[in-house]
Amino acid sequence: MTELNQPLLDAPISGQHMTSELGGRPWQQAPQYTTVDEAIEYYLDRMSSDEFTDQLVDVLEMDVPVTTLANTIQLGGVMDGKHSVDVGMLVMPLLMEMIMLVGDMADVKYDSGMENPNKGKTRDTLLESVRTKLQREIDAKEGMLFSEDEIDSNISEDTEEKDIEESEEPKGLMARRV
Amino acid sequence: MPSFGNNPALTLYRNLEVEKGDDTDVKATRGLLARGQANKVRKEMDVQQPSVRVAKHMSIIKRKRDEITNDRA
Repeated sequence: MTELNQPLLDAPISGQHMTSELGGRPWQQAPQYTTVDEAIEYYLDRMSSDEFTDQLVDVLEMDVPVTTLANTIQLGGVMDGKHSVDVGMLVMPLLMEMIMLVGDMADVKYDSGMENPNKGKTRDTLLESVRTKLQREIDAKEGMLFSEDEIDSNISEDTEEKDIEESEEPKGLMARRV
Repeated sequence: MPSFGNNPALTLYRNLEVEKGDDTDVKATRGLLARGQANKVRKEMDVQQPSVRVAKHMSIIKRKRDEITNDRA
């Protein structure tokens, strides 16, 4: 396994893909198998060999998802100039089925890659939305000294007191009587 | 539909499950007196479509898989 701390000195240099002659790579040539049937036949032949099956079982036991394996195999086919990307896309579900068949035959517990790996986990977006909601509520409480109900009740008490004051009859010797 | 990254395999697989339709065991019509499959039937099955052809292949392998898992159970 590659150490992540080590510099990748064998990585391709930017623009390296343009250094070879056009048509010098297998994928730049016309594909060897142009129809889906031809590609299926090619893969069935390849995948039925003992060597391939043994390797496949080893990889499946390492918990590599079937979807990843199928994609890698068909990409390899495109790279080798065996078929086009389109044919590879069409053939990929069949490759998955074949890989699962090999796994079932060898009685291996494999990861099909069809289950959502995030199932049962709390979504980050949900956490973020709850956090925002709480923050808004805290801000609203801090910014307001009285709630709207309290303000309404205060106003009504004030007006009642004024009314009482106004309705009281003036008392005293010099007070005018209405 | 979830794609789980950049791998299109899952989506393609599920699409082809739909394409496959009813999984019926097609009996081979061989023999001297057997009637050949008419072109009309072939057209109805849409066998010329590459995705349908792959789906048919898939259904055969899937049936085999089911046989293996059922035998084991």
